[in-house]
Amino acid sequence: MPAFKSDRLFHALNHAMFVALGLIMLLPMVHLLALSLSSSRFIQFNEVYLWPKGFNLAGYEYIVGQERLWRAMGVSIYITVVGTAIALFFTLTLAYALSRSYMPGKGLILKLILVTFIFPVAMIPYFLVVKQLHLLDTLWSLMLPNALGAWYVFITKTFFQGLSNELFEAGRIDGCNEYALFWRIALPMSLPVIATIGLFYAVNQWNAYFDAIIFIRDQHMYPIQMLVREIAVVGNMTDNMEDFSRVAGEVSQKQVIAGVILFASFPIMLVYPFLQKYFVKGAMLGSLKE
Amino acid sequence: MSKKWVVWMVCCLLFASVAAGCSSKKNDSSNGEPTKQGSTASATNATNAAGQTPYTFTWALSNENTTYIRELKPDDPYTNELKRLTNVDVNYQWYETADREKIVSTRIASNDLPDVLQLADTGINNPILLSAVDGGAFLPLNELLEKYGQNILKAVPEETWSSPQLSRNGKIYGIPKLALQAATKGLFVRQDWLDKFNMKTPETLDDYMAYFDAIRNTDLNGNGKQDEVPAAFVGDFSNVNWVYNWLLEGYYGVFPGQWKWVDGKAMPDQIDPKIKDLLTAYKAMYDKGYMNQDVFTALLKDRYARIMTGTVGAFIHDAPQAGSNGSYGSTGKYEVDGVKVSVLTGPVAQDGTKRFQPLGTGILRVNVINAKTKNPEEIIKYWDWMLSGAAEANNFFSYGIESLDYKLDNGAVKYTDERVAANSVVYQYMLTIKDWRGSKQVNALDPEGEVVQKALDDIMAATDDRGMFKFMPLPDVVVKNPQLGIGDGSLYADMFAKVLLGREKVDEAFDQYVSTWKAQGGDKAIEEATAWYQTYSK
Amino acid sequence: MHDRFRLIRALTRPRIAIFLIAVPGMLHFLFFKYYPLLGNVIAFQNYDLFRGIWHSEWVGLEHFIRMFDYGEFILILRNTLLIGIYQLAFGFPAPLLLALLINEVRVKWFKQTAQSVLYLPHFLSWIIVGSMFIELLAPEGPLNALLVQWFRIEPVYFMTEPVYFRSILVSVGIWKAVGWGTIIYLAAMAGINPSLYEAAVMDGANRWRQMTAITLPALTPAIVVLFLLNVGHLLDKNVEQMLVFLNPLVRDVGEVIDTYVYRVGLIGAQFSYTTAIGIFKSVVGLVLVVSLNQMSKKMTGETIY
Repeated sequence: MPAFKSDRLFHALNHAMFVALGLIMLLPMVHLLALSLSSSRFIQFNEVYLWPKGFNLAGYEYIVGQERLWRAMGVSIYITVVGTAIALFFTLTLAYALSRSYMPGKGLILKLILVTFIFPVAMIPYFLVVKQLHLLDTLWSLMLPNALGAWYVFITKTFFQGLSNELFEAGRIDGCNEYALFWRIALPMSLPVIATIGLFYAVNQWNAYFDAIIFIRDQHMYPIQMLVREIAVVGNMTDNMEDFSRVAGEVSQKQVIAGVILFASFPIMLVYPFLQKYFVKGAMLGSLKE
Repeated sequence: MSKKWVVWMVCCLLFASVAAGCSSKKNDSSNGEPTKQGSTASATNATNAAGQTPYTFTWALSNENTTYIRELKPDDPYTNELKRLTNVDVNYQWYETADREKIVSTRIASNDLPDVLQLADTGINNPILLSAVDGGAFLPLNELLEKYGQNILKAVPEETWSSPQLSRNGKIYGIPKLALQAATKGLFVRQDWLDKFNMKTPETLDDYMAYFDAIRNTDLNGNGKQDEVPAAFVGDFSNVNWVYNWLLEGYYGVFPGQWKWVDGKAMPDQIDPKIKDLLTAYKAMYDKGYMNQDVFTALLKDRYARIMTGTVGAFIHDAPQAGSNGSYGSTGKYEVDGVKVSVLTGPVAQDGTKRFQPLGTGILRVNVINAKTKNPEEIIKYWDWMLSGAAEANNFFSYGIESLDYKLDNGAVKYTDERVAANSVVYQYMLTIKDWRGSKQVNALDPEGEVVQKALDDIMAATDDRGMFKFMPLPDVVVKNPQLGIGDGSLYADMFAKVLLGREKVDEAFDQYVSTWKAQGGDKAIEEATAWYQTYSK
Repeated sequence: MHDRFRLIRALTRPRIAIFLIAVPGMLHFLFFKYYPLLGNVIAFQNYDLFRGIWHSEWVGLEHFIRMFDYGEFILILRNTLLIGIYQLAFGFPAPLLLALLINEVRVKWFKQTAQSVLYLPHFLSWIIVGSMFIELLAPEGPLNALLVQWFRIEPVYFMTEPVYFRSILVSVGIWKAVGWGTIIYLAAMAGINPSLYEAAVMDGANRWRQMTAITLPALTPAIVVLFLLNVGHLLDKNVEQMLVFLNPLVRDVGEVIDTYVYRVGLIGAQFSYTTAIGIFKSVVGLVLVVSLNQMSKKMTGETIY
């Protein structure tokens, strides 16, 4: 890489900007972490910023002891993993098919899908569909209805369209049928977009709670965000000053809330770093050598 | 290599989906837990006699944001004790208060109703419910109450039974969850601060202002910062929360959102000229720092946090909260020591009467019974027993479980050492058809009981009774034009905020408000309210 | 035996096969999107929950007229449009720019760390983020403390001054979403053949030239699609964000269609009306997408369908 002087300046500025930006993005998390480790006295008086005061682990002890939090975590992990797999199945197949110029009815179908993207889905009919499919109060109701989104279809289709045709030609010459072209050629070449769409679905699935409100009645099947909502959000909106006092001494409501939020966000935040290798430039193009 | 990964993933998917399908069909309901798919009329047919199989029914109700209920386990002692005492096994289906509308609408739309459905305090008086009532989804209860629910009938005043919240076309459909009394909000002040200032209990408006002034000028917690807040107000003006701001409304006799009958017409307080005086007084308070300066940006939860730091001189709350079971009294969970709380009823009104808060309906929630329920009389009997005054009922709902929470000592009730005070919300409020918190029996055993009882009596003596208007639902034009109301986003809330912060002058702002209000539908609201009142006060 | 062979031959014909591949997805749309979409017909009825769609009274355009008649309709429509356009104008390019800059980072561990940190705000709910920012911008908060000390000016009531409101709203929105938004552009860039860059460098192209000649053209399809999808929801706002930041003093600039719908919804049981408003927003969105798509076809050759 030729090293121009302006190059070095650019890199310096760029790196500096990212450091500053990174700090700004990190601050709220650090603040939450500090809150989750501080004692109520300091929290109430708004004296906790980025460093815990009155350090104690009572908040996390409470969380560890809450069986329902762990169960909800398990439910969320399950519906995220399986739900994402289901979503990828629907999305990749449909988007691939729509990216092929010889797909019958392509234009019409895409327009219809656009309509579903723009027009809202009414809650009551949505609920009734799931009910009529006998999915109420099952984990399926949390994984199936939201397993396909127009937004994702459009993005994925765009990526598939960008795949170079030579490999497909080569495949056809070798006698591959459409299914094989999809499975053996298109998919392996699309790992970045599979990783991306999978990540998006996973995060969406992880953060979702609306479906759980209307479809799930059994508290054992609540995903983690339902509980976060209870603890961090809803409980604060009405005037029922409740009984965190039942928990020993140092634990204040805000401390537990901060801890629960971090607890609920932690697993999903870890997914992206693991997927980063799919975002490396040119990593997937090894199969196509001029 | 990547292919293998994908194949593995698909196999996992297939396996997992089969597993999920199987596990979701497994019925894991056990004793006391809600069963899947609340079915209509799951009440069993058994007779309700001790020793025979218990009567069961499903009841969908709000968990009132109670942590205990959210964490409820199958072996919970209180629900089990109640079951033992009544031989009725209730299949509770708890929902979050915030989700009530979604839950109620989806269940009605899908015709999947529990035996008992708990509604908000507006009862059957909203279009969704009314069409279900007219369609015969719910049981008319007049006969059942006559035969099996005499105690329930007696507990509720006649005018409340005939209110649109509970009745329709002369038939009663809703049974209310009763408040302790029809007005429970009092003004909590720091007695220890009053003592420090050598002030007697404030009575006149000047007394209160002097109290606020003293707070403003003294560093009471000695931390070098003037961070004490004389009076804590709530900024998010949803309809529910205005009551926590009504400090001086009683003094001037105007409560935004309330109506009165004047010269043959219904008139809303919010356009009464006395509002100008009210606003002027509040603006003065704000300017002098007697009110928290972040009133419009702080969230509701911040008010509690602030109160708990012990830096607030006056705030409005339910009187029972001053008891040992509550959070805000002298035994409350403050961050500082030495807190002593007195519960007052604000300044004596301009015209010399005691007036603090309007008289409410006494209805906290409304329960309706599914028309398809089998043996609904058992449900009536169940609730009737709660109100019957039977010793077992009284003791359970006041004190909890014998030997766990209390013991009888020569016939006198004493709390045990193991008693967890915070659990009292369960048997005094969550499982009952009436709010037992702050009731006379409970107060009798509470070291703070006298404070609570006196407060409750004072509060009832300082109410403003607007007659049938207290049952009046929002006029239709206000429902269609929410800015005509007094909640968040209303013209009133806007004016209030702008005046307090000095962005607009009181007189101009108020006159502007009244004309805008009338132009955008207020006149129609007056017509509707007048018509309603005339119909309902026959 | 002959028939089975015929069947397999038929199923593997390209057009049939590709259609079959699409079938699961299409069925999903049919059940979970289209069928409920038809439920929007309640906007033209007085929807009676209990009696259902088939037995509800037909009222035609009554709810739409009510919406247009609403005194503040122009106000909230204007706010919605303005905020939407600000968000588009500043919030759309931001992730793209950031992605391009990330792309320029050579040090691998720094790049990966930066990427993993930038998206963090996406995971926090608005209730949390909102409260933090309100505290930050409060008259007694750190930002004002800074201003008072260093610039010697009076504390600014950021949150309650209408003139700052939209800017704060959009800025905080960008802060929260920009990191997450880079992901899709980074994925697109990962698909660019590195030999193209090598060849360009060989030809003496500098960083800027590489970007305009290679990266941007390769990203154009993604940019166009994302832009159009964004535009389709121009009138939709994040209710969570709005409700946290909105207060009575900034309603004139901050009240949008969605907060109005939220308030109407609070009073309850107005499904038909709120659905009608939703349809209105969608129609506007649809018109925008279709017309901009036509423009895009002429300008860049990219089209969304």
